[in-house]
Amino acid sequence: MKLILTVVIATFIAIIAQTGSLQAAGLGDIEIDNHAESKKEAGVGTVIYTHTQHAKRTKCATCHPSIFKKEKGANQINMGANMQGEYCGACHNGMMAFPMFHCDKCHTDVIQVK
Amino acid sequence: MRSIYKNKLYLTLALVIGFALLFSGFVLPDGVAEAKELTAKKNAPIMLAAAKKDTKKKATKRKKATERRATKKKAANIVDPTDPTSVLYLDTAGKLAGIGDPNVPASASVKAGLGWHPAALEATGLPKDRYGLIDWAAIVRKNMIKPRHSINPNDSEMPPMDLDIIIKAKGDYVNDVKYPHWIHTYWLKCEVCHATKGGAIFIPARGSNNMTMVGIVQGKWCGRCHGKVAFPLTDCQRCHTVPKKPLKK
Repeated sequence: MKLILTVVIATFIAIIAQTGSLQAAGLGDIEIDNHAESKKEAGVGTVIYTHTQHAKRTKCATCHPSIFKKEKGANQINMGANMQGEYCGACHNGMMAFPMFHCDKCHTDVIQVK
Repeated sequence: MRSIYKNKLYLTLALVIGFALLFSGFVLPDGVAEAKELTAKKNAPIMLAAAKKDTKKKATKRKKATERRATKKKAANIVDPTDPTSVLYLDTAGKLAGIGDPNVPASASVKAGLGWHPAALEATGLPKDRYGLIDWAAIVRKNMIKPRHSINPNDSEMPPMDLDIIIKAKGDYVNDVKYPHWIHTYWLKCEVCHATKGGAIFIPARGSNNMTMVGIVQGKWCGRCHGKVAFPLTDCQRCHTVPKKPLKK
């Protein structure tokens, strides 16, 4: 009985700790998978936006709602707009954050050109 | 006891002073002095020669001393502001980086000192791009420089080819690229890109170069120069200038 009890308590503690850590991480990563054909043509995959990594350096109000609306599908993010200084390009212009020509820093499945 | 001791001390002091006075003011008795004078007169020529030697030695010593003084003075005046060879070059931290003497072998630090000072570069008023880099294309367009075509004055120069090529961007939302042959052929020969050693960078036929930004970033096509010797890829809008026609809905 004692053994079973301890095991149960241990699992409970583990679960609580995990949920706690999840809450501490706060925001999940977002996969930006629009314009699939255009991306395929350009030789890049979808973008994984690392929310947690960005939250380390910036506050929520830095981007929301002025640069990114807080709704799924409300932001028409594309590279053309980024180049004009909208969306990601507001910071990722080589001055505030790393420039946009490092494709593989955001896009997955970046092909290796022979 | 003390008084006696003191008296002894005074006594010894007095003795010492007395002896000192005696030795300093020691005068030979008259007879001895005369005898010495006589011997001196007898050996006059020899003595004279010795004296002459002495004077010569003294003169050389004086000369040497004056020379030393002169060199010391020279060392003190080594930094002459009117002399271009005495110019001191300071680095950005204000430390001595080199001197302007061409006879001094150029070490790395001397070369650093001879290089462009950031403040001096700013003072030239050269046009810059959005990222603060020198815009060489603008310098050429404004006729600010006239680079020599060849060291041989008889060499004929091919004028730059004025042909813009629209390269369609792969992405649907990205502006197309207008490639100006003019500024590229201003600097380079056709063979640099179209007949490159180890395979042409650009095959001179429409549609035969499947360029992508991914490849350019990896050092292919434009990336062979841009980001290395030409302006970097940071400024997207410097090349992606031609807007695409609106997509059909």
